[in-house]
Amino acid sequence: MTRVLDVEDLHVSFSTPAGRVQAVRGVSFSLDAGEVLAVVGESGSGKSVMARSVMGLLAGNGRIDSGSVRLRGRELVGAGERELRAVRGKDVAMVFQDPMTCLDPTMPVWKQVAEPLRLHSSVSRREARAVATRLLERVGIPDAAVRGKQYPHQFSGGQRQRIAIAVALVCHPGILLADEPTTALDVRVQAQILDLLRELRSELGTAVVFVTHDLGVVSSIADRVAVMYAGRIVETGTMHEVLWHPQHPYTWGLLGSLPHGDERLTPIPGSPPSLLDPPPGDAFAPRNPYAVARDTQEAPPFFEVTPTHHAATWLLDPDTSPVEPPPVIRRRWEQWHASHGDTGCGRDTRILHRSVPDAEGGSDE
Amino acid sequence: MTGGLFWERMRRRPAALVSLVVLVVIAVVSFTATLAGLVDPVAQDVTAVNQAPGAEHWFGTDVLGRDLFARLLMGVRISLTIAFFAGLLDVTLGVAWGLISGLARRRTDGVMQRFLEILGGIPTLVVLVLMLTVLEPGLVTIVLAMAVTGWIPMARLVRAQALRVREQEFALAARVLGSGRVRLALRHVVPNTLGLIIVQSMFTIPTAIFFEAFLSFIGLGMRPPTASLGTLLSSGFQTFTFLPFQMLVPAVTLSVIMIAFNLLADGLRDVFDPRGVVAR
Repeated sequence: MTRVLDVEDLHVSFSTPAGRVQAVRGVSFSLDAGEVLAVVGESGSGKSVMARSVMGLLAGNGRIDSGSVRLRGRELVGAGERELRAVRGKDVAMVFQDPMTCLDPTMPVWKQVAEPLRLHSSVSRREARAVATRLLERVGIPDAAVRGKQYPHQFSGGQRQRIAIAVALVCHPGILLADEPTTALDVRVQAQILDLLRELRSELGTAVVFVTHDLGVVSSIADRVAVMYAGRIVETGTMHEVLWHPQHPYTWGLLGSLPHGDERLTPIPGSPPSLLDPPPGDAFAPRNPYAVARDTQEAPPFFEVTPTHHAATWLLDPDTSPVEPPPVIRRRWEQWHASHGDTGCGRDTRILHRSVPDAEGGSDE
Repeated sequence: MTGGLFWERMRRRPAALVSLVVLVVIAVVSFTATLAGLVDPVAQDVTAVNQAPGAEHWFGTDVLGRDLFARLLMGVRISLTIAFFAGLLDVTLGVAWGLISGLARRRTDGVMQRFLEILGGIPTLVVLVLMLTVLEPGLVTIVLAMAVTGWIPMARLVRAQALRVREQEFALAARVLGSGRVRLALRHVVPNTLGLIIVQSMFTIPTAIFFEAFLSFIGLGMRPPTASLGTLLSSGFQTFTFLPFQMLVPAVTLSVIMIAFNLLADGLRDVFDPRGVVAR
């Protein structure tokens, strides 16, 4: 696997009349070619800001305070506008949340698809048009030669998102940043768009950073998952590890808020902290029923669960007394252990796993 | 937009189409007739002063026995020339200023806006009177006077629209694709502002004609024997109670031209709007 993107200790802040809002506080992750990384978290957790700062596209009052973003080894933080422009659309592309507003209403759609080609390579107008039409056909716009001449308002929301995907992929970028591309669509269209992204990913080998707050979407598309809270990644691992063997109480909370059978949903109480003045310890501690004293003083480091699975919570510290996760999570763990066996997943699992039979009075397994 | 599509859409707007035809006819007739010397607007005939409209003189004659039809054609030519320059200034200087100001950094934008405010703060009439101390009254002076302030509303409107467009997601999307500022301005902001530009420039044209008429009326515009719609109105005004046709003829012509420009502007705005296909 070749590494295409390396983000290290990224800090992003926005200046507001009230002070500097620290939207991203030390995020590190990497992306291999062809891989889909889902970034999940509730609104305001910094996931969109993180995706945008990868492209150097922050609003006027935002800036990258420190950290590095390396695209195939090339540093993008501090790169000039000209250099960034050469990268945008060619090596890194982006799909936005709202397909109703991300296309120019005054330009025929084939032109919009051809635009990146004309910008980044010296193809003729005729060639660009042919490529654009083929790609429109590929993303599922029927009769693309004719419909390409039409304007965005003549397409449905799902079709517009397909067109936006075509615009993003026309230069075969190595990385696609998808910022909640299915949030504004209804569920059936959502599934079609996910299918399309999956197909195109395997066809073109594009790595995808998929920003979403929908865990259902995550399970259908992601290889790996990073859970973000208050500007930090709190848990990261493969999709199966994070969804079926979650370790961080925030991930538990997210999974607990999913509709599951006929059980009542368990929302996470409270709301995220103000990032004007982030708390010193674990930012989730005030909303966390499993918080330990240490959480309010010291931010937890990443504890390794498996070589691919890490979570930043003191619950994984050997000195912390084990806790019993909520029933929804216990059931997920049971399924996980049933399919993976207890193959020495590390000390945390040992501690926490031991707590499960205790809690159930040894009735399970 | 291709020519064929333009005419097809234009056909569905009869008011605009008729206006266009009227304006073209008026322009062609007035320019060819006076420039080719088919009529003589300055020839005086003391045996036929203040004639009522008739077979000899279609629109009658004035107090010096000059043919009013010939003078009207000359007046229309002068007024349309002024209108043309006013429109030209609007779409060049006004649009460029607005685009740059709207897409530039905040500080540049601020400087450009303060400049506009200072410029707009000087009364046009004062500028014109000052200019007349240096220059001869006439076409050049009037156009220069409009060049000072005439394009400010256009610059403001385009800037406001540019600020709006650049915050839209498709503008961000264009930057994501690697578009620079210039490309963003020309490919995205201008097309999305086009309707506004057309309407505003068409509004400027009647305003300019009226401005010239006003200047001539108060004696700062065209000098006799040159006729413009303004000078015709002002001389017709003096004899209005007993020879009403001398004022009615230029007044009706001015009204027709202004209505035609406004209707044409309305139609053009719809024609250039991509969403106009389904409308109506």
